[in-house]
Amino acid sequence: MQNQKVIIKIDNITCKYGGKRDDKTILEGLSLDIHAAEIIGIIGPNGSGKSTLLKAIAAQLALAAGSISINDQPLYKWKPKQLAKQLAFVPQDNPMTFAYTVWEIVMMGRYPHLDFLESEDEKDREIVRSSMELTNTWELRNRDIQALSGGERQRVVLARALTQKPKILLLDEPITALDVQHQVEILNIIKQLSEQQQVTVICVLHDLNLAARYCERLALIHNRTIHALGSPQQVLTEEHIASVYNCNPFVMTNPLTGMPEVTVFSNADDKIIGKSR
Amino acid sequence: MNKHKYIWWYAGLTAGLIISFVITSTIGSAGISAWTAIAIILSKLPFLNNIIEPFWASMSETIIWQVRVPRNLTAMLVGSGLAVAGASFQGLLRNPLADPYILGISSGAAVGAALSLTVTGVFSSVIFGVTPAAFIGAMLAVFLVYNLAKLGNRVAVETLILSGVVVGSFMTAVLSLLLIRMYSNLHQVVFWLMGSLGKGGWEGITWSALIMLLATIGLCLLARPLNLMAMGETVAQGLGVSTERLKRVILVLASLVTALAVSIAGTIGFVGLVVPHIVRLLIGPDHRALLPLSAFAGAIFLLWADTLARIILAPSEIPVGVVTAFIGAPFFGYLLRRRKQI
Repeated sequence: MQNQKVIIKIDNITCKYGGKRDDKTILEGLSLDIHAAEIIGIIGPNGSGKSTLLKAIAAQLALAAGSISINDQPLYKWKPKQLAKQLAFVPQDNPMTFAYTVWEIVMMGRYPHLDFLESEDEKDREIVRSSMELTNTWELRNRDIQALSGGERQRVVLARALTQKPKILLLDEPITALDVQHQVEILNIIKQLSEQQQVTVICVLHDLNLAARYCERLALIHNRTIHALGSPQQVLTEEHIASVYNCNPFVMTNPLTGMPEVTVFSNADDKIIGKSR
Repeated sequence: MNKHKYIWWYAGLTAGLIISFVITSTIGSAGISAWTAIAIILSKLPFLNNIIEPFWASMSETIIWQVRVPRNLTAMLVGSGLAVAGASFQGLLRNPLADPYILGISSGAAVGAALSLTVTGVFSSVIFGVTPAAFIGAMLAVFLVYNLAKLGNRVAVETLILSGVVVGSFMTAVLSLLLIRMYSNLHQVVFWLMGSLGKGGWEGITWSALIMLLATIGLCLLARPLNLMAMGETVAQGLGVSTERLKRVILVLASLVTALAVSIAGTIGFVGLVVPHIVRLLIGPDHRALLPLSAFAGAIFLLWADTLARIILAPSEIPVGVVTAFIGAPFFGYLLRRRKQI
């Protein structure tokens, strides 16, 4: 955290949804510096504004106040295609209405690098191939996307994001719908990317233990702003979790990873762990 | 993956289109032989007009050159336009059931046409022709739909479909009201509604042909960003597409094509729905190939449908919209059943 280059500067932003009469403030006065090549996890309860924060960083949401800069340039000054070369955004749902092949979908990631009528060349195909190999989707290249399982689809969508050759990767709950094996597989790919290609990763996660294991820093969002920020050990304390998630947590250190391991009980379960608050 | 994997489809469909054009031009009740018909068409081409000596009656030339050829060109134009517009709407709205009329264009055009017929009472009246009236009605409907769906600067595609339904139902109500007050021209209006290519001649297709052609080409050029739109707007935006602008441009172009097609030929159903589906089934959903190949397939489809409409009950005609639905509906049903098994 010392002397690290800030790649994204989020300065006192407020985000609102809705019309004139019933606007709802989702985030208010939120500031956060994101460092180059780090993996930062965004955690927090449902509806706390995690996805909203990602959308704001991806320039898909107008800010009601405050500013976001990427590489010292305010977001609104970025042209869409220029931004897409820097930043890839993998949203939560990826509708697959038509039966594109996996290859066609991953090749779409080259869009920001191509001029209006320029066609893809050998270099683009090479990049597509390498991101497919990295995500283990090369064997699926001729398959119809609609025929793939959830885990395979998620890897394809990730491959498309990598094909953009971004410096920053925004992931909105990339593993929520997956089984344990595929969860770890996806997170390993992300970690590898960050280490080998110096990609900055901002990742919304629900699983606190996986977040602790794979993220260098965590930002816990609550009450429209950042409730806690820091290393997993600093953020995943019983006190923080109890107040934000309104539950009864028990935190220990996982002997294998050395990271905090959270077990959550309902407030009514006091007797099970023999604690009194 | 292979850059040239579509080349045989292009070649095949181009050949199919030319052959269909020639064959359908020779079919008819006038008793003109196929060779005479071909010779007449060839004699109109540059360079060949000096070589071929007319050996036919001038009546035959009039039927072929003044009636069948412009009619066939109209069929090709309308068929390709509707197919490309349908494919574009399906991709843009991420809805396989979308067709060119989903945004109320057909009912808007119908109200325009019916109004023109009620007010003037004469088909192709000099005061306000059916064609411009239908075009204005169609564009008015789209304008209403777009503005109804607009919230701030954004238009959500789901809202767009719903506003299409709303405006469409309203226009249909207006149309019904007009129809029950229309005693003398009811037959004309109903015939118009079901679609027919028998009007016009060369005059009917000149300026609108040019605009339709340009708009169709424009849609084909937007195929790559349209592919991204089919992935959802969030994804498209994340890949650098200016989604709101693209939506507007595609809506304007596709609506223009559809409105012109409807104003020329009435509301011919099923071409814009079924043709893109068939092509997608054959070559996949990549719009860069889907849109141009749909144009060819739509042109061929409507050529044959119109020929059937001319000859089934010759010498009288049935509306071509009846033929397209008659073939299109069962075929679409068959496709749906087949997809279920996969």
